[in-house]
Amino acid sequence: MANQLLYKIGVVGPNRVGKTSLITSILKDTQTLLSNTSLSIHPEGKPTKLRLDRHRKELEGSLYAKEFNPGGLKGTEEPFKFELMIDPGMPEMGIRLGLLDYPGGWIDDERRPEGREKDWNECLSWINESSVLLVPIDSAVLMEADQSRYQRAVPWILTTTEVEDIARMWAKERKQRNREPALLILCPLKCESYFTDNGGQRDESKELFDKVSKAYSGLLKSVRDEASHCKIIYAPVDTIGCVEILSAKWKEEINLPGGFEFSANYLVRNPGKQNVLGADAVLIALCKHLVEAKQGVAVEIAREHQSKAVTAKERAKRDEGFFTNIWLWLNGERDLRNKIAVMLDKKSRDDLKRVLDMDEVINQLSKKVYGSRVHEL
Amino acid sequence: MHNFAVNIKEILKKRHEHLPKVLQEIERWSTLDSEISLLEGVVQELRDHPRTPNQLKDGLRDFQTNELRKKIADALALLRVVEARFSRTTINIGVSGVARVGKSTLLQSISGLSDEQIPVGKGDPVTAVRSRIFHSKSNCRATLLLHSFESFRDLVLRPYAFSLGLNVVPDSLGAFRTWTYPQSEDDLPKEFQTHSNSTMLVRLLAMQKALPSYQGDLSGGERIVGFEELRPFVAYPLHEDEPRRYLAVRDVKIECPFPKVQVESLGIIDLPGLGEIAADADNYHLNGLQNEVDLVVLVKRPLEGMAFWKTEDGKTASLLDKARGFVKNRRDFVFVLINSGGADLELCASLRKSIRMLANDGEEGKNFLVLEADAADQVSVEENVINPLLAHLSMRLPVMDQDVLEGTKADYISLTSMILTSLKDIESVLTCVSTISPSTAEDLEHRGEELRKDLAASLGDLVVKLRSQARSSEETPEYLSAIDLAYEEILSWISNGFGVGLDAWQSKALRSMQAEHNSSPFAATELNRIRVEISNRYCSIDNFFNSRVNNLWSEIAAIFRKGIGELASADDGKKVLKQLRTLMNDASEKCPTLCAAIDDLLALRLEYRTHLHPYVRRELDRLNLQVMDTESGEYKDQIVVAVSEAGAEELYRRITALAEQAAYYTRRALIREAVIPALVLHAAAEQFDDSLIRSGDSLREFKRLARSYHDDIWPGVFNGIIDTNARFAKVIRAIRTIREQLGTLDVGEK
Ligand SMILES: Nc1nc2c(ncn2[C@@H]2O[C@H](COP(=O)(O)OP(=O)(O)OP(=O)(O)O)[C@@H](O)[C@H]2O)c(=O)[nH]1
Ligand SMILES: Nc1nc2c(ncn2[C@@H]2O[C@H](COP(=O)(O)OP(=O)(O)OP(=O)(O)O)[C@@H](O)[C@H]2O)c(=O)[nH]1
Ligand SMILES: [Mg+2]
Ligand SMILES: [Mg+2]
Repeated sequence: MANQLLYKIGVVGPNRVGKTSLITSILKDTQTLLSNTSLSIHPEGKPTKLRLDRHRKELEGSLYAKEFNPGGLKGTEEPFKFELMIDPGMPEMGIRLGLLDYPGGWIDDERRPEGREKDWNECLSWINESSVLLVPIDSAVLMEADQSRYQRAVPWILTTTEVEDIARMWAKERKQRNREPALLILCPLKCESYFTDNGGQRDESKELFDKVSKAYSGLLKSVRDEASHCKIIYAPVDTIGCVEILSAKWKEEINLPGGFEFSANYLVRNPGKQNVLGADAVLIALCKHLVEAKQGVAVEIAREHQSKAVTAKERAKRDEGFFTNIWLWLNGERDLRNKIAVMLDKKSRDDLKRVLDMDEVINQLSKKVYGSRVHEL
Repeated sequence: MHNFAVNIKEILKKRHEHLPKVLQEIERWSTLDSEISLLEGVVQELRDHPRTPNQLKDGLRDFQTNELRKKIADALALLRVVEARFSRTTINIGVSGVARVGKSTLLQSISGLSDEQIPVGKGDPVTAVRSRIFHSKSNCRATLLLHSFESFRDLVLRPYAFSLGLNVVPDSLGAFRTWTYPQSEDDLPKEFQTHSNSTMLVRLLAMQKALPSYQGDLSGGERIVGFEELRPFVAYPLHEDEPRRYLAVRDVKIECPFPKVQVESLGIIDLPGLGEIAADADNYHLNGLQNEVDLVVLVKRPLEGMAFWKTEDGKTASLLDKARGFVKNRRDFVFVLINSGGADLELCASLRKSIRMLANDGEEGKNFLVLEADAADQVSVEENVINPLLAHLSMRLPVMDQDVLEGTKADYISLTSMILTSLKDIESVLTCVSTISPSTAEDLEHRGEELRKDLAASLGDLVVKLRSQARSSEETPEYLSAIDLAYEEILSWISNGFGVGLDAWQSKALRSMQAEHNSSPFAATELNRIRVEISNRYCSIDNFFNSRVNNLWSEIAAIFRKGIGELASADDGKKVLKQLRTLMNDASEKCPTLCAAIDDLLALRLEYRTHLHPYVRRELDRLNLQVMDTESGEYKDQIVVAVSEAGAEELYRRITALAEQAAYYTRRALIREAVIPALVLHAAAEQFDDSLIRSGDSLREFKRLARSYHDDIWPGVFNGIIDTNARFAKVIRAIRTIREQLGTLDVGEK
């Protein structure tokens, strides 16, 4: 356990934006990405496994009979930590991804149920500790708002202000920890109608990019201002892939802050099977992030070895969070290597190979070029 | 022979082709004549009006059109001669010469007629009346053109009276009968007592005396007479007391089959002897000639005492020049014929020589071509007269016709410049003299400028408003609802089974699929039909567009109405603009630039098909059955269903979905382009503003508008002060009309 690297990933987005779907897609796409490597990814622990199964069933249900019913996916009701394990096949090694899912409505103070302040604060701490922040974005709302009155409702529906506030808080924290890498990923979802790389006929990807940049310009500015070292990427993801908008409606709802409720009708593209696309960018970005982090930490460790040794305990006191995490992980790895190097039995040599292989896979992935949808901002 | 006949026909045909042009000119000059008389009227009105400034009155004092109108009348007369020439159906050869040279003999030879119809005689002159003789296969008749008393008085009596110094002529037959003429030379006014006048007086008295013999014939009109009764009508009597029915005859036309020269469309005209003593006889006959003949043969007979080129011959030739008119070469028009029949050879030779030396300046054929024949011999006449003349005509007649045309044209070109000079004279008077007092003129100018400034300001505001609309991201609610309406209708059309009903549609689909063994043909046809339907239904937003365009017109019309008051008072914008356009066009001083600006504005169209369809068309591509596979780049059918009832149901669902999607995305595209109508309107208003206000002639034309319509725009303000202007404008208009008419004259062309 000690040598497992825990990667905390924060997600911030309103309800129904597709947080849960994005998380499950990341697992799915990562599996594809890691096939034919010595690594695998799987849910860590039974709750995660159950949750993922449930999601899959719900999705299948919503795609029943070549029709897509967005209501088929239930909203998240309680915060839930998805834990995914990138596993080199050695119990004490590997990378654990922790993604915190929560009911999206909670980011809006007014919509958060009574008495959940504490839970929400825990969510916020998790986000603060995450060196990676995912911002899922509802593309359909952006793209189908074809009239100015609907466009005025968009920030309310996307809760851009709340999302921006949280992102700013996150970025401030990143500034504190400016020696550790930071990664912000804008993930437009429900965007399959605007790309032609997954069965669509109409390429409106440029408009989508422009609209996202515009709608989230405040967020981007805050993050850049607060944490200039933060890497930002734009990575549109199809979590379903085989649907596309048939028509959209803006229903007047006086009680909603934006005044309109958005809904879309979908048709199912042949052959009607889920086809996740673009979520691999998240793992690739993580790997790039990780390799960079490792390099930073390696330099640090070397420096410390030259001066006087700093104990793990001292470091833990001084510098919490991800950086320590990596430091510990790398130390553990190094210790492990040293340990196996003197034990010349076969198991030890296999273990060493696994460690080196994992390094290699991560290195390879980090060098991978993003898909054409992705922009580095 | 035959060749000549054909040639003559062709020459005549070519000649007729000139006719429409000549008629057109006649029409134009007649119109010009009345326009000039109109100008005179309005100039007079202006000149005589008490409120017209004296300076202007003085300037116009000298203006008169009598001279011009006389010249136009002359030009018209000329054109009528040309018209007569070109509309004639025969080619006419005149036979002329002093008395007794054998003209009638020549005609007898040609026509085969006898003394009874074409009298010849010894001694005294015989032929009293001009006769025109035509070859005719079928007819054998003589048609007399008879005098009325009036024409007899004017053409016969008056010249005699005039020559004798008697100024009054009888005004009726009865008066003539009892008219008291001087009985002898001594009774004539002193300066008219000459020998020839005494002969003339004798003749006049004889005419009066013989009146009972011909008064019955002074009926006017035509009369056909038999050949056997013809002679008294065409020949002088042998004795003093015989009847003088020829006096009642103006002209006789004889038709008969010619024995030798059987050319249809050929006429020979026997002219009574020239240089005769009858008063004004030469002019009388020649006047007729100009209309009537294409060529004249001057007959000379080498008799003792006549066998040389006499002074009279020279005079006769000069008289014939009159008949020649615009034909350039005398050689073309006059031939000398030496009638050698029964003449002494020596005399012939001396006549020949005399003609060469005197008439042709010593050079054979220089001024006249000379023929020689025996007038009494049919064969000689055919070979030596008719054939050479026809050969000449077939060569030269087209040239002579051209001469005539050009001569006429040259005549009215000079007339045109005369008229233009006159017009310029008036114009310069008009421009030198301002009809309005300087202060009034200034006020009017100022008002014109202010009017333009006011319009400029309001139009500027409108343009700014439209610009902000075009820049606003806010869609026009009416536009949105127009689109929504179309969209909802399309959706309900779709949900009603694409206009045919769900069950009907599905069973039709099934039947088609069963017949074709697959679903594609039916699907393709239906998708096409749906695409067209959707597109057509979105056309209904043109109603909205129309109302926008009308709105713009109304707004601009309202701006005008603020400035020009009751001048254009129609109840809708478009009508007001049209009224304005007409007013500007009809203004006494035209405003072409303003007019064009309004024309452009009125031509503005805003249409779904033109302005929006191109942007939304690709959304309808969703309704192509074949779509490109984005990975493989290949086209494939996007819908394939089983040939079964379930398949038909599925087809319905799938096509419905595609149709709804296409309708939805077309709608979205239309809304995205919502700014286009505003852009178009803004551009149109800006363009209008530019061409109305900022074009180079704008200020000038606003001033013109002010001058032309001051009473309507500022009613009461200029009352009476400048009503002279109306009269002034009338003169300007009359001048312009004349100028336009002159401009259409075909003067440049050869
Ligand atoms: N068309 C389309 N729909 C998507 C996509 N991702 C998610 N959805 C739909 O969006 C809806 C919400 O997805 P969730 O993943 O439950 O959203 P969430 O953010 O977890 O919502 P809360 O749990 O309520 O906060 C579901 O109906 C999904 O099917 C996508 O990529 N395309
Ligand atoms: N032998 C002969 N006699 C001719 C010839 N031509 C004319 N004469 C005679 O000359 C006389 C006058 O001839 P007309 O033909 O009457 O002369 P005209 O020129 O018509 O005379 P007016 O009608 O009086 O002008 C007649 O006696 C003719 O017979 C001719 O060629 N040969
Ligand atoms: Mg959720
Ligand atoms: Mg005669």
